[in-house]
Amino acid sequence: MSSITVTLDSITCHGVSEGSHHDEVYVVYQPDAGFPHRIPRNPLNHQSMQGGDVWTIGQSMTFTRDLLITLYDQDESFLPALSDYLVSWDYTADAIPQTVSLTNPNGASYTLSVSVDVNA
Amino acid sequence: MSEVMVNPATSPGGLTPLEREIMAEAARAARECKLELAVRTPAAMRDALVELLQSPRFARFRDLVDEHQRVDDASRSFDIQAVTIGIAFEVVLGVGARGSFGVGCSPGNWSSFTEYVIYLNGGVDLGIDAGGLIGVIVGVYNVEPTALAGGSYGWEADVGLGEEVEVNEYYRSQDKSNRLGYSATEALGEEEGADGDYLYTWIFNFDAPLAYQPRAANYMIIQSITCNKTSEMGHDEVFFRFKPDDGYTYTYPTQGNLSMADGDVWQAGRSIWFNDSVYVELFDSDGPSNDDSLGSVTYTTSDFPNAITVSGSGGSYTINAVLNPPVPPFSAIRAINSVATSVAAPAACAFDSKALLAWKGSTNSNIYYSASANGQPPWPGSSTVTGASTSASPAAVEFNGQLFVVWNDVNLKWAVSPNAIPPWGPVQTIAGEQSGGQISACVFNGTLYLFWSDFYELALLYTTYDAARGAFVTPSSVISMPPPSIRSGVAACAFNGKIYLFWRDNATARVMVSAATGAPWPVAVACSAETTLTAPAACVHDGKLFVFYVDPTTQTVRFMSSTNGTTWVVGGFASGTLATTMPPAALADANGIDLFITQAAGPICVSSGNPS
Repeated sequence: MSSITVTLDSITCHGVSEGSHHDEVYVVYQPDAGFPHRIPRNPLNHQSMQGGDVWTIGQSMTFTRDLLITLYDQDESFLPALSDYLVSWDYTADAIPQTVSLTNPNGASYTLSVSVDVNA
Repeated sequence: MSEVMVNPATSPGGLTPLEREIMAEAARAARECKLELAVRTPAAMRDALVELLQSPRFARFRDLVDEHQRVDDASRSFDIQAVTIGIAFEVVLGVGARGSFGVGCSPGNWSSFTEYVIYLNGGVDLGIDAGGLIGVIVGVYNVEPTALAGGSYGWEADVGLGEEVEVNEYYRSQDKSNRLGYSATEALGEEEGADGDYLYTWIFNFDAPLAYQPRAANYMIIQSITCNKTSEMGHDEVFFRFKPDDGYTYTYPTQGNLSMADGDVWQAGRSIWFNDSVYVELFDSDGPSNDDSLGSVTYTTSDFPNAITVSGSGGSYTINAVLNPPVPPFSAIRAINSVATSVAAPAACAFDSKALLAWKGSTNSNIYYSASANGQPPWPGSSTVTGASTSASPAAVEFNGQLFVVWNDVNLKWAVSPNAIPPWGPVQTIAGEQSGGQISACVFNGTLYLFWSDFYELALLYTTYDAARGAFVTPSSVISMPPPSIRSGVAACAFNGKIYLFWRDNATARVMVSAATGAPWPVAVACSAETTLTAPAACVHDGKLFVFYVDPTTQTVRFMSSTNGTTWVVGGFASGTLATTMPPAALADANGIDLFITQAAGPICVSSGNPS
């Protein structure tokens, strides 16, 4: 069983969650139900996004079975109950679409762009 | 936050005997942990701290804290609502800073990861003259873990535990009102403890324990959740918890929820490790302490419904899950090296006990080739076929101990080399013929065959090599069709005493097959309902005939296999992850199949597998 390395190239915001002008976006990616990693790594940081914004990331991620990427809207208090789930996508070893567009009924709309790293 | 009422019956430092014992036990356990934590990375330390607090080493401490929850007011000076364990540190950045980084939870919920938070606190100290980690620090506080956030003031407290234990007490206010709690750590010789230092504490989401699982024997993915009926008018705010093997409970999403209405589908994609069983329960989030169950299911390896409808609180949801999903039979795709790129499909063959690739240059018409002993990256640098200039993908094949390469340059042309070392023999022409697509070479019953679709896409043609004359014979037609019928080229493969020919039918996009011992080939039939974007590739491995093709939707390579050339089993994705619009090349040996793929002007890549 070999691992696959993909790069989360960018996240494009098409719409933000209701009640806000911006989403304070951070990403949690979790390979193979393993240790979750946060982007940005600094838990104080996030990416403020609104419709049309493109967040260039370039984060390399390696997995074997599946890779779950979840976007959250971070509240400034950092308290768990006040962060909002935005969208998520689970990449599996046999299906890695280069782009996937995701929506949340709360208005959040994002596109994830990934590429397979053949030089990993 | 409640004002702390200090019990008048307390002993030194304002602590009761039980509380002093708690702090002493905390310091003792912390002292034992110092060295093993100091060598960990920060990320690993986070997990390690949780595990430490749950370990037998802290069993006595946990028991004492639990007892503190049960005793009457006379035996405690405050309510312990939060317990923390962290690494105390000092750094010097112009001025010194000290603080700690760790995890916190509510007492009594030691085994529940969902209760943990991460904290970081610190303050400046002009007196620090050395940096680094200084030990494990354990705290007990009279506020919930999340309420530790904010500013506080700390003093060293004399609680009568001797010089080996340093206890600090913390207050919200500088006038020592509104006590927060105490921390204990190993005393550091003559260094003075806190003396009214200001600290600020940040509390963060703790995704790690909410999400991380140790590996187990089985793996499942909750792929999607469909809302059949909400539990209330409008929407349910859906999240779920799962509990593998009666262990910890995890939540997804770790924060927030997804608002779902009737008919909505949530592609959750949460994977779970477990040994025997997993309990999954859906909830409608109606507030921090008022979640309504939307139903639950327990999965076991012997009772694992891929789709099950659960209901609760008036709602109905269908959970779609998969148990131990098969991993792709082929490895992750890798570039063969950092320089080989092509704008056309590569050709693969075995030559001199090596895997050999030939391809058209991405920026010129040269034909490059390279050979590898094991087919795995990195492949050596390439050479060029002397005098060759091609407009499309070449073909390569070993025949009678020599390497033949065939290409399209107005006419079909070919050259041969005895050892694949330049210079090659002279470029020769197959008179009068051009290829409209990929050329395929095949050795059958001691004869070298070439197959291609003609330039006008009207016919599939073939020729054979006349070794006595050192030339290919006049081409003949395998099959003729109304135009444009055979646009993509052909794949040829010897199997079970026949030559199998595969191509893409332009009308249906299906993979067509026709097999014979030689001309005439019978009318082709579709292998299956599978469709392809390009010409296929074929090879024989482990007694089976494999055909590879590009899925038109995902543009990734799939495969089918057959033991008899008549009935086909769809094997799924082969390349897995790399999208391409060009035909693959396949090469089999005793160890498995190497699959070669390229993207437009992209690297030539290989994926290896041993499909059954």
